[in-house]
Amino acid sequence: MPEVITTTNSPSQSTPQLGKTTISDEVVAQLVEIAAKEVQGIHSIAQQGIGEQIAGLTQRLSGRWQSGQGIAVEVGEREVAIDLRIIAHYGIKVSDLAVRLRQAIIERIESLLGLRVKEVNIQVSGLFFPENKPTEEHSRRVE
Amino acid sequence: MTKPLHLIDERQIADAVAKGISLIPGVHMPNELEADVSTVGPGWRVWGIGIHRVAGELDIAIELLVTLNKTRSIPTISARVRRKARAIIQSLTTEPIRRLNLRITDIFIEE
Repeated sequence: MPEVITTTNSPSQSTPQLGKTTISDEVVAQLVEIAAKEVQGIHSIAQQGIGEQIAGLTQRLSGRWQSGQGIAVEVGEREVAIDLRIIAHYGIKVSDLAVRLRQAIIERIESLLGLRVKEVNIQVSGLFFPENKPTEEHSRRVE
Repeated sequence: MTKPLHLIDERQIADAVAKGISLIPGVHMPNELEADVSTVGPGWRVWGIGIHRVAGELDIAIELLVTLNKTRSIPTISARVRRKARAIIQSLTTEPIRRLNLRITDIFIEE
């Protein structure tokens, strides 16, 4: 008999004989970040805007996990929906990148958490240009 | 022989469950900074295990940190933890378990 997997905020519909297994939202977001970073062409997860940073201040002060600011997850009893914002490497075809990223996330979440991924919404918030890194020559004005 | 209910206190149950499930590969109990629930008494506290008695039944909450890999997923770990915790409790007391809830608070990925 399969056990019930749900989150803290979900309505309680536990199977009395078994109880329920709760996976915190942070855990799901953490897994999404790990999966995303393994995809070639992803430079990083986008940072939060000012408003979201203020809104998340309490959580960051009290929480254990401080990464994944550009990741929002909604976890249900059986399904999860994910929104994430990424910085992509310049030169990578974004549509291909999105397909690979989506596959990586779905595979990770479904295999490790046992939740069905209902949607993965990807927003490319910026591009990373490796050649824009300041060289030593340019960064030093004086010796 | 199973002891009568009144001789089993929460500390014995919490200690035994915490020690028992810690032996399961990939399962870690939270420390005081990581746990939201605990069982506490005068001079002692077991982090990550919550025990309540409701109408003569046990209501157990367990918090876990887990290490996942390709063969070890949360459903498999939680099923093992549930089985082990239930067996430990039933070896200590005849008191029925009303509910045994698990909460995964953090994960580590093992490649």
